[in-house]
Amino acid sequence: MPPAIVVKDLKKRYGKSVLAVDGVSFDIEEGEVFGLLGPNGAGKTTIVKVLTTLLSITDGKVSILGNERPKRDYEIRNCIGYVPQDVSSDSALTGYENLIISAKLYGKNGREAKAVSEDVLKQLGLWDAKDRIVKTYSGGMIRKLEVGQAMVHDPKILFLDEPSIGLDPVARKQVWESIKELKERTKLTVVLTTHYMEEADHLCDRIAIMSIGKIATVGTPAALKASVGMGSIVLEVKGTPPEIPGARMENGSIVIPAAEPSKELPKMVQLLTAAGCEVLSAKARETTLEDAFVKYAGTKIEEMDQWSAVRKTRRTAGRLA
Amino acid sequence: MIDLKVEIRNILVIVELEVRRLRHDYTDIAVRAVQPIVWLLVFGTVFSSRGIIPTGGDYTYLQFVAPGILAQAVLFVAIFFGIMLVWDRDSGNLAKLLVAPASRYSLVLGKCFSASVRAIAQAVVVLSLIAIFGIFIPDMALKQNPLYIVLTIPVVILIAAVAASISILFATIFRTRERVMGFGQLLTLPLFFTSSALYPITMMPWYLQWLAKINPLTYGVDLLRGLMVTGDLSGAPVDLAVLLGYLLVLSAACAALFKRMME
Repeated sequence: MPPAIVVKDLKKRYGKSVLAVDGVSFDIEEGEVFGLLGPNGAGKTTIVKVLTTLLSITDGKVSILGNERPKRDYEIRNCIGYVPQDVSSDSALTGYENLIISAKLYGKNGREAKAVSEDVLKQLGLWDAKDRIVKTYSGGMIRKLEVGQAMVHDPKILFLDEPSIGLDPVARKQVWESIKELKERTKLTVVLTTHYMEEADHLCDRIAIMSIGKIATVGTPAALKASVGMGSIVLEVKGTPPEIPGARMENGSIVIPAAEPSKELPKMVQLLTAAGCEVLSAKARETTLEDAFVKYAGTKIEEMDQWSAVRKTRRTAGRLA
Repeated sequence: MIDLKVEIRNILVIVELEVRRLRHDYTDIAVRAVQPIVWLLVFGTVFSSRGIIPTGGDYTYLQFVAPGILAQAVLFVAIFFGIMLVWDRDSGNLAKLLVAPASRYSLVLGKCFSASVRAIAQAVVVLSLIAIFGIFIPDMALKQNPLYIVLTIPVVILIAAVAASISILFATIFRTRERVMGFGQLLTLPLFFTSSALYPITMMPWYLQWLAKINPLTYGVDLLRGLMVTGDLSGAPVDLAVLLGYLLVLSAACAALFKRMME
């Protein structure tokens, strides 16, 4: 089966100076959840806007389900759904009305639009709120409604730009569950951008780590973590510990490399106790996606945010709160 | 490739969106009704009583100016419509429309006629005011039969769509609320004063007459005045052709520039 999305040497320049995407290539297979992970301003949103036909291409090739941009933009639009980072539901309308308008935009007549809107409302658990103005919705409800609006025409690919930005942890989990449930039910291909490690780890089959307009690496969360190396066990000990291969001292603690830190921790504690040491504290440190990010992007994600992008993100967060 | 039925359907969906927005919030219409009242009752009455402006027919100045006030109310609603588009861009609403399988042309025309929706609401208010005040101020009562008055609605739709297309063109070029607002302000009074809304064109010096001739509002007012006051529709074919021409050219320009909104 050919890939759902093929991107080759994509470049996108805004105006004359800003090169937002600088020669990016990747394939996305049908049915997978593909994540673009990077700090604000890394070019994730720009890539999504290029893939959804909203932005023109400066250089390179983009093909969606065999349709090349920009020649077949119209065909592409017919088979994709898109939830922008900004709040895209009309806040002056009810949830039900938003769905009706979306359905009609995709060619459904009045009766079909009504049927599909009611289905979506029930599936997303928004039925009781359907006649309320969207302004009165919580952030999580709005995001769910937006996903629903993007799905009225049964698209083959769903694009989600920062789906859980500005949401509280509970609402974030709910949105994740909605996306997972949707994917399982429809065999949908999902492309999402995020700067939350946990979100990428939890939702994505494969992740592209982005930094300043480039993709540093692509891989499954497990492979990315494994490529960083082993996790470790950190112990605070009173007494003289026995010789342990690979162990080193760090700030007064013993750090022992381990492939599966949580599983090996009890054994290690036993070993030390048997050797006559008193174990004061013990911690298993698993490799995280964050470690992989630091390895490939060179810095921590929070240290790379660009001011303009942060401002935009905060604004969206403010509107969803 | 372009399926006319699909395009018309898309235009209607975008108009439906505006109707639904309006249904949830009437305050805009109520607030905007104040200005035409002032124009009719203060400006119109003063200028009428002094007989300063010759109306060129068997009707009072208040009757003469009523279609002009209606055209102005419509102009003021639509000339700032581009700001709504910038607002839609800054929220995700515009992106949502742009990823839908609709041509840019139908999106632009949909937005133009969305302005018409608000203009119709405005026109109904102004026409009702004229009818009500006409009972107490006979000078204001219009001389036409009711059918002609109903025909003013399609004219109002057209004037609003033309004015909105100007505003949307500004929005696609300047892309910020402040600038679209500024250019709207810059244009409203010249458009209003160089049209035949307040006085017959024949009163103007030649260079202003020349401006009046390229001003789309002149043609809109001419149609409205024919329908509401004089009953003379001899200029209607030209009026309609000019207004439609403006709409087609301006909206085509908007459609060509529309993708700039996202860049």
